[in-house]
Amino acid sequence: MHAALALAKKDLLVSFRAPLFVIISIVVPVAFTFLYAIVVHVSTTATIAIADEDQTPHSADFIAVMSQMHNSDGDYYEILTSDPDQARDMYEGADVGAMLVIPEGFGRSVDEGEDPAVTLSLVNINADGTKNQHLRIEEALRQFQQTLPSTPPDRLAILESTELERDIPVSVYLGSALLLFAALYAGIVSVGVSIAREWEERTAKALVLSPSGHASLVAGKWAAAAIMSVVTIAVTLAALGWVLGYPWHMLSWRSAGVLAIVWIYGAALGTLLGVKLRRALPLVPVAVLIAVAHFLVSGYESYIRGFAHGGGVELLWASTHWIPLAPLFDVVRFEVTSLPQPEGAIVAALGSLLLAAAAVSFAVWKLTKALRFTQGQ
Amino acid sequence: MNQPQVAVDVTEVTVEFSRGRKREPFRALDRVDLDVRPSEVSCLLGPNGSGKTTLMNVLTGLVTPSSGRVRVLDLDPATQRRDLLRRIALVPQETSLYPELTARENLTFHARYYGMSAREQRTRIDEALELVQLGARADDRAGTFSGGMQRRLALGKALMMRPELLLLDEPTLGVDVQSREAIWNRIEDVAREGRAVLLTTNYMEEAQRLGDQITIIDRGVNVVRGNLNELTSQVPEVERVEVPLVSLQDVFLHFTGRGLRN
Amino acid sequence: MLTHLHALAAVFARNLRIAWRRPELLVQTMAVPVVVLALASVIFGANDAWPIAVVDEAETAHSRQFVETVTETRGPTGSYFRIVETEADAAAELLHAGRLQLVVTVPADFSETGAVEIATYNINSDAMKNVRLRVTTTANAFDGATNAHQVAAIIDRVKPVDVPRTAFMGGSAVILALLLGAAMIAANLYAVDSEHRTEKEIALTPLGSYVAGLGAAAAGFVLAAVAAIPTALVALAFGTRVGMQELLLAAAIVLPATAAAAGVGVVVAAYLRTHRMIQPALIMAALGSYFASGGFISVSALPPLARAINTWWPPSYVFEWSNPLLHGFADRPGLTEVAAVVGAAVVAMALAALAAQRAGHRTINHGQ
Ligand SMILES: Nc1ncnc2c1ncn2[C@@H]1O[C@H](COP(=O)(O)OP(=O)(O)O)[C@@H](O)[C@H]1O
Ligand SMILES: [Mg+2]
Repeated sequence: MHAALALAKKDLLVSFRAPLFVIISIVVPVAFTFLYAIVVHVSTTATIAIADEDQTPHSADFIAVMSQMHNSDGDYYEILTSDPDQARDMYEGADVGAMLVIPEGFGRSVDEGEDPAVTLSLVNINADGTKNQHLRIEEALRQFQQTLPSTPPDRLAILESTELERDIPVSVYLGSALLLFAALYAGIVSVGVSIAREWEERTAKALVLSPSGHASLVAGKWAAAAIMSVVTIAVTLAALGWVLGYPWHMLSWRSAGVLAIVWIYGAALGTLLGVKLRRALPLVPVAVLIAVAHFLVSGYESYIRGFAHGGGVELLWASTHWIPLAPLFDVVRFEVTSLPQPEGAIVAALGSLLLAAAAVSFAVWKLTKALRFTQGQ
Repeated sequence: MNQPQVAVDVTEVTVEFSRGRKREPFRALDRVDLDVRPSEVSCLLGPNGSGKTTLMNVLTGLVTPSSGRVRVLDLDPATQRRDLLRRIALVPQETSLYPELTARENLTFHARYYGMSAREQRTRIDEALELVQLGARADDRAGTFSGGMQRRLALGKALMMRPELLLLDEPTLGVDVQSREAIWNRIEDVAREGRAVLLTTNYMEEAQRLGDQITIIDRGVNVVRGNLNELTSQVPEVERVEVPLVSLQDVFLHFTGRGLRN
Repeated sequence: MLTHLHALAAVFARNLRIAWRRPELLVQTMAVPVVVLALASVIFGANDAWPIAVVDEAETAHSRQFVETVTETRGPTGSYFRIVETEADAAAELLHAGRLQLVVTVPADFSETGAVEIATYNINSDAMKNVRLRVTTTANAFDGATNAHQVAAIIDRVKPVDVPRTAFMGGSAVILALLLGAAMIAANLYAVDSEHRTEKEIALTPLGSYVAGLGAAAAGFVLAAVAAIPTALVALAFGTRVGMQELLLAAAIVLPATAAAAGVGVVVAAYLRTHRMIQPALIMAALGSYFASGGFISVSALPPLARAINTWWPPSYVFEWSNPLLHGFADRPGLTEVAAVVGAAVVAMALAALAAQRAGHRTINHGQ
């Protein structure tokens, strides 16, 4: 216990004396979550330029319908212009990937019950963007059609019931995943690197030869890393609050517990990597890969679950049965959205802790069994 | 305390590694014998790669031999490691210091991490700093120290623990003459206090000066053992190199002085 | 001059040899874009035809026509739905478990009410927006069959066939692999000296330490091509197809950009010095750029804050300028664009030389 504290204090003192590493450790995951966060709403809002060549009340109505379309995340369209010349300039200059032309005579066609049509021009360099634009224009057409007196009343009605009381906003869905990513990353990288560092700086032998034992070594490393990780997580949360309006005040002890478990899971993997690799050179990329893979797979699990029917997705989804982290992501989301907690959270929490314990035990065993030092040490 | 008769008793120890691309088995130590007694400095002499560090690792339990008997302070390093580590201290071949920390902080961390009580720490740390003559530089970062100072600080770390057995792996490698003298003197003090010292070196004069017992190994095999007289008597008269009465070292010290250069 | 070139060649050759002896230097650079591309392609490439359940409780000609419309609902890239379940109970169970996100039920009284019921597993608003808009598309198609006089949209695309999402991601991932590879290999090779304590020797060369910087950048530039091969193979596997001419045109942007990245890598290494600091900074900056600066989705389609940030973030220009060339949406690179990346490469190399030179001075002054 005293030994672990001494080690933690030493690590913090070293970090304080050479703060560049601490700064990097905090800035890097925060920067990544920030970058990811600024594009979270990319498929909420589609940018478009409108060439309104009709300039009638009908075309204005159509544009009004488009600008009012939205869901809880935000507007469906960001209309950059409705001026025909400007719209064409922007589209031709590749400043926008979509242009809607409301042709002259559109209003007249609507009034006369002919077949009015608008033209949606797309730079189809990414099918996802094409699909996004297509789906939106369908909605715009439907809503516009609804406003017309000529529309027959017997149109298809759609009555929706939802499984959850309310949609989880995508900002909360991905914001929570990014928050847990920050905890996971901080755990893996800070613990892993600080262990590897003792080998790189040739100070490991003295640590390993202490009568305090290897548990003190691990505990001390964890304690120092935990303090730095708390800062990382706090800054990430602030960034998410700012960029996504992430409702961090909704987080309670339960989410804090999840953050702790995810961090412990990361720290355990970091311990294993540190003991096994002993060099930052291979360790950092491996750690980053583990963190990013967990973010993409476990972090998106409840979303990909619905697609996982056949093919590579199903295989990938099946892998989440073996890594129990996924339900923990949902715990945070459901809490922040005030939804009743999902099933399987307890199992996930225990499973993650169990895996962590196994990883740490293996690492400690490795420390005792295979003490390999570079030549001369 | 029940002082054991021998501090280190190594009999026919063999250590195997695999090396090279093909992971060929390779004997770093081959049926090596060694003993170290309290109140004595034992020197383990051998060229680079002869297995000195490997033997040290065997004594601290970092390497488990494939065969042979190892007793250190009447304990088995492989199974009674914790108990053993409380009673020995090792100065590794490569100085393990934190360059960002001051000399005192390095010692404080080491003391705590090795379970020294807070009460003892203050006096022992100051004492150790004085012993290795770093008192004046106690609050400077280890990263700013010269090689000799770093070695002395590393020795201070070990002395501070007051071990029954002090293990030194090439303690004067690349050290200036003044620091070397200081280190040697401290080592002699330890033996005089009744504790055991095992030191590896490939400097003849170091072994000659300090070694009560000298063990020479080469390529992982014992070459010869005994005290200086026994060893020199084994070399036929004709092969002996004439030793001038005054060694070069005496001359150097005479002209450069014994003061340390920090 | 000639001696300087000789020295540069010596450092370059030493670096290639180090990279050859320590293959992990290359392997780890390969791994990041490969894994991210593979995972992202599987996860984000999966939702073209959404698996759903459709339960027809009416079993009338009218209801069957609706089910038919669901099956036939298409977007520009293909079907929007794929029916994987038709039994009411099984569908309800799958929905509850989140194994399906949409169950469409045509109730028994469909012919009288003209209403269908949908049940959604609304795990996130983004997926639900997608589901609902797809249902809208079905509704439009269904109503359009009975009422011809509807407002319609003609979709006019630059190319007859869309570039699939995974193909776009794959192309960008190769660019990412080149830029990250160049930066990371150059940086790690440069840092080998500070980690191995040979930097003093390097710093003491009478020719100037800049040689070490340029030598590392050159090796990073060359080896980036090797490091990008696995990513290119994964991209091929996920459907990225690029013609020879497009490749050459895009190279006019990407190659100078790779050189610039190598220079930046050396600058980063000269200041951060150790692998443990260099690598997180470079890898995470690269991944962040991939997702947020035009690798995943063109910058012009991003939210305003992202667009504003990308105005100042050089990697976004690499993606924005090279992707249209790569996928045949531009005939040739703009002159200013090529000039800009070549300029960036020259500046980055100069900075690399300068940073290395200054690092050399620092080493000597500190006198380790
Ligand atoms: N962990 C190891 N794996 C393989 N070979 C080793 C290992 N440690 C040491 N050796 C080899 O054992 C021999 C003895 O090394 P060492 O004990 O360090 O020699 P010395 O300390 O006398 O210079 C050397 O040939 C060295 O290469
Ligand atoms: Mg040795």
